[in-house]
Amino acid sequence: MFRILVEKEIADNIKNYRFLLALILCLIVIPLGFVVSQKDYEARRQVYEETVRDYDRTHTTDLDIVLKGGAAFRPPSPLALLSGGVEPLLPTSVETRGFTVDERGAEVQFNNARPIDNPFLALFGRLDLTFIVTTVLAMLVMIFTFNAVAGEKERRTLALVMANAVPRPVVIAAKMAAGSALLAAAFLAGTAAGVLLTIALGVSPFSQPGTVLPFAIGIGISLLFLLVFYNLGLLVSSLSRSQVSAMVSLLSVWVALAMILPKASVVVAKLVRPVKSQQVVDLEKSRFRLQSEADLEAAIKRMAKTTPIIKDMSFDEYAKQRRAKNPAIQTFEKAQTDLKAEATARLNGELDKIDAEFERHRARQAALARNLSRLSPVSCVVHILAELAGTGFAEEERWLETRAAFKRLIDREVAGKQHSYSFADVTWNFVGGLDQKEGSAPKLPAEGVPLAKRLAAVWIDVVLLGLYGLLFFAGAYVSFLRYDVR
Amino acid sequence: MTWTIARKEILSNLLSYKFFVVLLLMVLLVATSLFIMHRDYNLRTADYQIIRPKPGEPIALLAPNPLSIFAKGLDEAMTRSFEIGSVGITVRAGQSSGNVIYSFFPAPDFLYIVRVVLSLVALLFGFDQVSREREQGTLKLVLGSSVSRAKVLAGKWLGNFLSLAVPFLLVTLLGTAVLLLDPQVRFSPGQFARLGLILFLSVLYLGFFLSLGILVSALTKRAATSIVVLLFIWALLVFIIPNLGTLLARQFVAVPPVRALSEKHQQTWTREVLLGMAKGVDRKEGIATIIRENDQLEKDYRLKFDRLVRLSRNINRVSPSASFLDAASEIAGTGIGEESRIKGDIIRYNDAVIGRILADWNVIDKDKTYPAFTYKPRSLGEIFAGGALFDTAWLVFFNIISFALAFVAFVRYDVR
Repeated sequence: MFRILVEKEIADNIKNYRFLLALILCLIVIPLGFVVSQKDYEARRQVYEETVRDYDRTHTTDLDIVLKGGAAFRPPSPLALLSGGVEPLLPTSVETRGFTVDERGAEVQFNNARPIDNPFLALFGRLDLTFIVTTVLAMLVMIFTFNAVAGEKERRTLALVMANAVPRPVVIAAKMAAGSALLAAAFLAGTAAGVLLTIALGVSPFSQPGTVLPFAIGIGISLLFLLVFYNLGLLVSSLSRSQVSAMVSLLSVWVALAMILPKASVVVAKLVRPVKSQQVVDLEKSRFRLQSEADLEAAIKRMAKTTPIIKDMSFDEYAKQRRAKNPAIQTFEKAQTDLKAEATARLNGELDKIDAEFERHRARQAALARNLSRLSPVSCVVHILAELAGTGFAEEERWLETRAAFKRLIDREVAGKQHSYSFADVTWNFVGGLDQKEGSAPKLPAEGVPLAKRLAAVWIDVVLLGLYGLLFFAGAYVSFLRYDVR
Repeated sequence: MTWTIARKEILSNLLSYKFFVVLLLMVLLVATSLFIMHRDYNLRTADYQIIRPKPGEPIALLAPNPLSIFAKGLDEAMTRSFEIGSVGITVRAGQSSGNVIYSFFPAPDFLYIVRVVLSLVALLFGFDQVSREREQGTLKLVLGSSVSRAKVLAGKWLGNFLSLAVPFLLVTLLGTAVLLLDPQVRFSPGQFARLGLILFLSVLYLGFFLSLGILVSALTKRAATSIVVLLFIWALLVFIIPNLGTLLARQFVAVPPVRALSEKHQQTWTREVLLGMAKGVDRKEGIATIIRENDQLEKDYRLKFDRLVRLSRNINRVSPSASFLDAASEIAGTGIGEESRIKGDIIRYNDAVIGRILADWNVIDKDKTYPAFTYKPRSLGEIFAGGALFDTAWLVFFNIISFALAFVAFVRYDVR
C-alpha cells in the first residue's frame, strides 16, 4: 500500500508541473550560484597569490620586516560556494607595520582589505549554497507541501482515500517519502549540473586538495535540511483548513525561522553581552603601547640623571667613554636592558590581557547568540555549511591563534635580535643581530583547520537538525491522525 | 462600481486570516529590521567617532550614512578607512559592528524586506484573485451582473493594493517616527525627501508584484497552479536575473582586478621616486609624472569598470527587483554610483597627499600636516540623471504592462 501511495504522490507532483518547475529552478539557480561564487573565489585567490608573491619578493631579510613590516596572509576558502559564512569579516592578513618591530616586541594587527571588484555581489548578496537551500529551495518545499493535506481536503480527495482501508500513518509517510524524494532528485540534478559547469568553465572547487569530502557532506546536510523543512511543511498543511492559510502560515514560519529568530538571537546577545569593536580594542592597545613607551623613556632619563658618574657626563663624554668600554657605562646600559625587558614583559602582559578579555567577551556573546539561534533549523544548517566551507567560527579561532603565533615568531626572529641604548635624547639602535641573508625573513605558513575539528564544532547542529526533522514529522503525523478530512 | 468592488476586497481582506498574518509579519519584520539596523548604525557611528582622523592626518574616512538604516547598500565599503601613504592607499576595515556572528545572519535592511519578503506577500494578495473566485463559483455571479470586466479587475487591484500599501506605509512611518526619537539619528530635510522617494519606489515595486499575481491568476485555472508558477517567477526575478546579469556582463567586459591597479600605482611611484632619485631626476617632475600616469590608469580602469557596471545594470533591469534595488540604494546614497564617485575622490585625495609628501620631503614627520578629506554626496538631480530616473520610469512601465496583460488575460478568461 505504501508503495502505491508513493507512486500516486510522485505521479501527482509530476503531472501538476511542480516537479518540472523545481527541476528547472534547481538546474538554473544551483549552477548559477556555483559559477558566481567560484568566479568570485578565483578573483580573490588571484589577489591572494599576487599579494603573497609581492610580499615574498620584497620581504627577504629580517631587516625588511623591520623596515616594511611583516605579514601572514589568509588564503580565501575554496569552498565558499557552500557558504560565504563569516569570510567577509575574517582578516585577509595579520601584520605588523614598518618601524614598529623593535626590541619591545611587534605590534600585530588584523587587516581586512578585501577589494570590491564586484559591487553587485555586495549589493544583491551572496548566492552560495546556504542561501539557495535556506531561501530558494525552502520556497520550493513550500510549493510541494502547502496543499499536501489541506489541498486534498479542499478537493475532497482526502476523504476518498481515507474511506479505503489505508492507515493514516502510511498516507502521511508516503507523502513525505514521495515529495522529499522528488525534491532531492531535483536538488541533486542541479548540484551535479553545477559541479559539471564549474569544471567545464575551469573554476572547479575540487582543484584544491581536501575539498571533495566537505562538499559531499555539505550536500548531505542540505538534503537533510530539505527533509526537515518538508516535514515542517506537512505539519503546517495538516494543521490548516485551507491551502491559502497553509501557504500564508508556511511563509510566516519561514520568515520567522530564517529571518527573525537568527537575527533576534544576535540582537539579544548584543543587548545582554555587549562587546567593543576590534578597532576600539586596537586603539586601546595602541594608546597603551604609547603610554608604556613614554613611561620607559622617562624612566631611562630618570636613571641617567640619578646614576653616579653617568649623571655628570656630557653626551660627547658618554660616547667617548662608551667606545672606551667604561664599566660604569656598561652597567648603566645593562640596567637599561633590564628596564626595557621588564617594560616589554609588562606591556606584552597587558596587551595579552586586553586581547584575552576582548576575545572572552566576544566568545561569550557569540556563544549566546549561537545557542539562541539554534532554535531555528535554518541557523543549524547555516553553521554546519559554514564550518564545512572553512568560513565559520573554527576558521576565526584559527586566525586568533595565528595572530598570537605570528607575534611570537616576529618577537623571536626579529624583535628579539635588536638592542638599543639611550643617553640624553639619543638612542643607539643595534640591528646587528638581524639575519641579512636572502630568504632569512621569517614566514608563517597558512594552515587550514582539519575537517575533524570543524565537524566537532557543529556536531550538535547536525544532531539538532535530525531531531527537528523527527519532531516535525511526529507533529505532522499526530495532527494528520486528528485531521478532520470532511 | 470600481470603488464598490475595491471596498468589498478591502473588507474581505480585513476579515481574512491572510491579512492578519501579513500585518503581523510586516510589523515584526519592519520593527526588527529598523531596530537592528539602527543599533548597527549607532555602533558604527560610535566607532567612527573613535577612529576618525585627527586634523592633518592623511586618512579618508566617511561617517556612516543615516539612510543606511533603510538601505545598507555599499555603505560598509564606503565607510572603510583609506590611509594614504607614500607607497599607496592602505584600506582598513573602518567602522565595524563587532562580532563575526553577525555575518552569518546579516540584518535584513528595509530594502531587503521589501524586495524579498513583501514582494512575496504582494503575490499572496494577487495569486488567487481570479482562479480562486472561479473555483468557488463567485466569479460567475459577479460577471453575471452588468459590471464590466475592466471595472472588476480595477476594483480588485485597487482593493488589494490599498490592503497591502496602507498597512505597509503606516508600519514604516511608525517605525521611522520611533527611530527619530533617538537624538543620534538625524535626518536632514533632503534625507526625508529621499526616504519619501524610497517609499514611493517600494509601493511601485509592490504594485507590480500584485499585478503579476493577478496576471498569473487570470492565466491559470487553479489557485494552486497559480502560486506554483508565481513562486517560480519570483525566484527568477528576485534572485536569478540579478546574479545572472553581472555574470553575463563579465563575459563581455574584462576589468582588471583592483589589486592590479594598485600594483601599477606602486610601480609608477617606485620608478619615478626611488629610481628617479638615483638617476637625479627632478623630484617635482617625478610627482607630475606620477599624478599624470595614475590619473590615466585610473581613467582607463574606471572606463572599463563603468562599462561593466552599465552593462550589468542594463541586463539586470530585465528584473524589476534589480531596478528597484539600484534606484533605491542610489537615492539613499549607498549605491554603486555613489561608491564609484567616492573612490574617484579618494584617488584625487591620494594624489594631493602624495604631492604634499614629496613636496615636504625634508620636513620632520611630526610637523607634516595634510588637508582633510572632504566628500560632497551626489544631489538627487545627479542621482536621477545617473539612472535612478530611468529605473523609476522602468518600474512604472512594469506596473502598466503587467496590469495591461492582466486585463487582457482577464477579458479572455473562461469563468465556467
